[in-house]
Amino acid sequence: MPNTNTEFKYKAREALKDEQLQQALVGVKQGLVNNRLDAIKVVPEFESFRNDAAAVKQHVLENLDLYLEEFEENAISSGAIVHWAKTAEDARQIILDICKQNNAKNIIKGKSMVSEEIRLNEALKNNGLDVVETDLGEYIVQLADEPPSHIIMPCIHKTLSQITQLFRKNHTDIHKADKNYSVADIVNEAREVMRRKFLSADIGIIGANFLIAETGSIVLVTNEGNGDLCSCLPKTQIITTSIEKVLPTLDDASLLLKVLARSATGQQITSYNTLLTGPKQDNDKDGPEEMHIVLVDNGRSKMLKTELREMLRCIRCGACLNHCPVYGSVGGHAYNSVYPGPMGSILSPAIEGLEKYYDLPNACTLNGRCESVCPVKIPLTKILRHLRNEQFKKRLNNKSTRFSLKLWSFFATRPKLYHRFNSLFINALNIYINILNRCSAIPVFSSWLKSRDFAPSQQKTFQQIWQSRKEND
Amino acid sequence: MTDLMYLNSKQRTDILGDIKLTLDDLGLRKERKKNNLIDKNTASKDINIEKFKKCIIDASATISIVNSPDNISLEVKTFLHDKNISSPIAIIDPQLFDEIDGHGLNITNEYDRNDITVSMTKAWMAIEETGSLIMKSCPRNPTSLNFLPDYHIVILDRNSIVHNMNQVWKELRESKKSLPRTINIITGPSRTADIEHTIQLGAHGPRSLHVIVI
Ligand code: SF4
Repeated sequence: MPNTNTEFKYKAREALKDEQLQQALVGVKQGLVNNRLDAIKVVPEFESFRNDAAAVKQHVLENLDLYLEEFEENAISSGAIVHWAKTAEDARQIILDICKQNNAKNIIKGKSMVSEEIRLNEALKNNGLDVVETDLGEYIVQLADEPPSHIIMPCIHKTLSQITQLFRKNHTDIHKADKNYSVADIVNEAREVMRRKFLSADIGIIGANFLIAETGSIVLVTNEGNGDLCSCLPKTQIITTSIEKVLPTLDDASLLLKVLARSATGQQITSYNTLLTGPKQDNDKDGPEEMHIVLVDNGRSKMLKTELREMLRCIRCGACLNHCPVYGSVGGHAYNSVYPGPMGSILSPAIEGLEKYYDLPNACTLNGRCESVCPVKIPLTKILRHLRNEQFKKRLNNKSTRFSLKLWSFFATRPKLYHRFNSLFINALNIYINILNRCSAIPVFSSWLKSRDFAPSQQKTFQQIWQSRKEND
Repeated sequence: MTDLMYLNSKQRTDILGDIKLTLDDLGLRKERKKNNLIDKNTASKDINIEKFKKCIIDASATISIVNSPDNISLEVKTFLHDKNISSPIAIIDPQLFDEIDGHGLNITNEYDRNDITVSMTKAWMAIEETGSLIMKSCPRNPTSLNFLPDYHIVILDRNSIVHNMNQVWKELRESKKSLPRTINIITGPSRTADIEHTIQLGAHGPRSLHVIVI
């Protein structure tokens, strides 16, 4: 029996009390949600884009081995070196070996959720390497020694004054302690610090949004341009990516880029979309001499066998986080996993085991907003429900939950008994409420009713009303 | 190194073998269906330069349209004057350098990545639908010139604007040459919204992007 059951609940409770976090989360709920709405309003065919995008990603999954082989072949003929990593540990080892072979010391990184997933930074640091995240949000959480709290907005939980304090502590040589920092000042200071890092790094590690089978290329999407600097300045380039990111053709990439930008930030197109193919070519003035592509599996080929399969369509846009009422109330850190929100509640148990992330499939109200905005139409609630069933089968729930579920299922599968019990229950409830004049005092439900109220009952059950109407007709 | 290679090929076989088994066992393989929408009816229509212009401006870049290459330098002078910049403009493309040379602009053809404030590069193509510039890397067109400077000036031939991204890919396939190392699709200057959702330009790349269409 796992004892992590209370982890999410505990962290969520803390998060609800954190005023700065709550203030930051308003921005997610309003800013990002509205940006997306504005961006799709001007594209009447957006729904068709979603259907097509879902179909392309599904098709890839149904032929994943073939597209990976095609990608590999073309990547190798463009001069790239392709590595395969079955587990997170394997991936870390491959990357450490490349660093060692290159006698690397200074490493700059672009944003990559796969590298978070395989906990790369820790491994590099433990091996004496200096690693700097260059995406501003990632850099800020790195300074704070925290994990990202959102997959596209890593420091969404931090306020300007918290960030200023971090910079004051870390940029002692250039920070002006007496100055009142604006957002522009912060960005400029980060730019100055980072530029030195860019120009002196030995290795650039970046992620990939898509891999193109047709050409063996990588598609990289950023707004800051940091990923591009990571990829054109250092003499060695490492791309950490995962096997489900492959797409058949460049045309498929155009489609996916359309839905990605609008769903993620509400832009018509992201500032920088880059197609990288192979290392530096003859006489080029910049570009890496070596391009390494690390294809990480880490549980994905296993997911393909299960009902979690469709989750592999995910393009990490973050829309499901932005539209999730649970994420919107507790933020990303409460999930205690690399991937938060609805997509994380599926991916983290899938990758690292339901036992470890036992709580997450329950951190959901099954309201379905997430899947109504998902650009690749992943049936998130269906998959979450499936995970809950798995929990039950594996006996991961605690005793009282199992008992209540069994009790409920006993009645629910016996309709007559159910209706009789239901009307008895309603009557008892009404008597109780009349005496106490308060819903929240109902025993058993007291913790559920702490933060919400119970609608007064209709005196009769639906079935009773239905029956009497039928008789009147 | 041989150990590593052995390990790599073993992991490759493991992963691919596993996927093959799953797909075949569960009978998941299916033919590809046609997409509903592949940029229909756009190929024949004329390019709407006004639309392109609007997209460029919406992306926080600036644009001016000139009638002949001779007018470029005047445009550039105004741009630099408005921004109060006196640093030399890095132009690596020899043809572009010759075109601009002799018009009283402070230019350099030296590539020094530690010191580039202004750069001028030529776009290979552009996309009307989104106001995006397509830059192709080659010895004359180092990718870093698009990202290192504070101010980036792009010269674009009006005839090379197409409707959408797929037309760029089509052109690329038809050119039959091997792909360049980098193709950048650039829409506006560098930006971040990481801090309190405030959009701030000039995160790592250019703070401003100026497009001159001939
Ligand atoms: S599950 Fe869908 S909405 Fe959520 S991040 Fe993935 S693609 Fe985006």
